Amino acid sequence: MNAMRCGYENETIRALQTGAWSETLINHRKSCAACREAEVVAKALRQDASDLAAQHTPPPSALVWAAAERHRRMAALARATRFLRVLQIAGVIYAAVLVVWGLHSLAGHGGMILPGLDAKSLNATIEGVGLAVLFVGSGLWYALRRDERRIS
Amino acid sequence: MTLAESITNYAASTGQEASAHDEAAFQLIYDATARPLWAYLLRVSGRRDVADDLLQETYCRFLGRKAGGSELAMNEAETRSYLFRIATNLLRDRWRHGESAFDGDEQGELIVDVASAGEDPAAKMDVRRVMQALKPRARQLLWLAYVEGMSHTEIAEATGLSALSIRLLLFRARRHAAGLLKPGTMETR
Repeated sequence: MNAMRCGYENETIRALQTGAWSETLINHRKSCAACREAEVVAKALRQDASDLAAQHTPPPSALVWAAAERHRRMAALARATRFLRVLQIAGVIYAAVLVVWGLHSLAGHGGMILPGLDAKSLNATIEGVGLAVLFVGSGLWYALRRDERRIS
Repeated sequence: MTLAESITNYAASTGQEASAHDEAAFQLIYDATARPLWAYLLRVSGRRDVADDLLQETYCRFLGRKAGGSELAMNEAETRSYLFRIATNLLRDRWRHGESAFDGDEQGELIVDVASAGEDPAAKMDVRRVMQALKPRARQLLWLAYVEGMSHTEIAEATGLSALSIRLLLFRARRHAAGLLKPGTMETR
């Protein structure tokens, strides 16, 4: 027999649960210290478990169900807002690139980088920047405003 | 409706919106498993507040699994085993995040109402103290093996350890617990 685990240990535990002790098991128990030890521990723990279970009144299932529903809704909301967050980050990056590009172009107009940029092109550039700022800004404002409202 | 039927119905029902049918099925599962699960969480964590929190969290995860689309039909024993696996993982997460209070009741957080403990309060205190004297992992293994009657393979699945490690750890834990349960041992500690 293995010193660590007797082959009858599982059966002994099962017999403790069901109360069905076979003749073989009863005879084995007399000679097996490991099984007797397992029985002592299992009996004590099972008694303790049943006492604890009898004492405790768990919260009503409706409460747990409602909490799980809240949990589920929060998870769904987090999934749904993930895309918005990506858009927000992309918007900020886009705005930053646009500003850098605009400054670069204006500097070029002064003759440093883009000498070919005439007054007409400059007007078109400024209009383009204005429109981009308007669209990106309104998108960001809408997304950020929704976040704030949710937090409050 | 029996518990087995309710589990089958619960696993088979679909849709994101919770129906009254789902809730009734859940209630049966909950009524059959909440008390033993709570006892397990209490004895392993040693704290009532932790046990209460983790009990709720366990069922949230259980319900979340269904919402996640896994329509795995489970029988009664599998459902119970699954719940214990979730609870075991949650306990592990707790002590990984430094829940030092797992090892004691010095703050008066622990638990057993000795006055209502029945015919032999001393014996019950002994079990409580024995469990406190053991490491959380040993408490877990003993409970799953001897109270829940799980096999080594099932315990290995629940705890994330190998079946061979379970064998050795469980042997040590049982030896330790049996030594502590001997009359007179706890008083000398």
